[in-house]
Amino acid sequence: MTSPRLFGIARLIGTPESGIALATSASRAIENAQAVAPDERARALYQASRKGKIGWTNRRDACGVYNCFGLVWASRRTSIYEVSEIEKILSDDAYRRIDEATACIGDIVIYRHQTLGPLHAGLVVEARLVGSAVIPYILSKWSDSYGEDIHSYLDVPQQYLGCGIEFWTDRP
Amino acid sequence: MLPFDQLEADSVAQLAFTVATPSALYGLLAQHPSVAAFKTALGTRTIDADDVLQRVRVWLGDFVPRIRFRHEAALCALVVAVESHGSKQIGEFIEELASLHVAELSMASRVARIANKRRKATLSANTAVIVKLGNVPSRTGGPRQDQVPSRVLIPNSFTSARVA
Repeated sequence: MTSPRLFGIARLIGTPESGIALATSASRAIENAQAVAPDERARALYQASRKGKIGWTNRRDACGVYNCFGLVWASRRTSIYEVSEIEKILSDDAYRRIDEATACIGDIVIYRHQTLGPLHAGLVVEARLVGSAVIPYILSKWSDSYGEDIHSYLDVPQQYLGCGIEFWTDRP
Repeated sequence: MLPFDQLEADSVAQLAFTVATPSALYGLLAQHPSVAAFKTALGTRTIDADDVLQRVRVWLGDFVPRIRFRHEAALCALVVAVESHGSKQIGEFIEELASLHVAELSMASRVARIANKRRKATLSANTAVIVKLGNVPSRTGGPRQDQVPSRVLIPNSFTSARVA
């Protein structure tokens, strides 16, 4: 590279990306990285995104370290970003697709764009009776900079609109 | 709103803060109106490569260790917007960001890796080789036709074409 280093300051004082030892049931390593703390703007945007979401119950304010996949598969210790890693976990840990009607606490939900792949995942934490229907409620961490909320599986940020909603279980 | 300001819009940041995979973020940013507006500004030369690098330098003035980079969402959008610009400076900018492994810029680096791969594939497919032939011998003078090379072999030192 011949030009002066544009990102010299990031190389000089930035935090080297690091992950933790994490593997699937088949002992295949899962690529991961721990996120730094959110900045003030991210915190403010998270609060703004919650406005009007009267059905959401906050569990935790905006924080770093883990994203949605890290919440579901790494006990909030790190973030998993790559689609290849998500598919590896689903395969090695013997997850299978189930209907929404048979989802129960501990199962997971994946919001998957038709062409772009998974955008988000969450944990089923409640099956709430609404009228005559049982609605799965999900614990989500929206990103590696936002917080955790419990919400109906249909009550999600507008960015997920149009995504397929898949329920998965590791139950036999 | 100026093109750079559009990349800093809340709608861009909300996208970056709710989509967990860099590949999906890349794809959704590519469809975002702010990115489209920025591409138009680049295409009409309202903005050039120097402006892009200058703005990134200004943004980097806000870099704080151990805190998510304040302009990371805009940087992700910028990378997607300039990906197909043919200038060497932009190529180096994307390549340097793609090579970074710092936690403050983790998503922007991942988006840059996708953009870098796509850029290289696109530019190599659109590469033009210009061969300048000087002093072409006339029929009446110069060496015989069988002494003039009919094919010029050039090693892989291509000039990048500008991609629309």
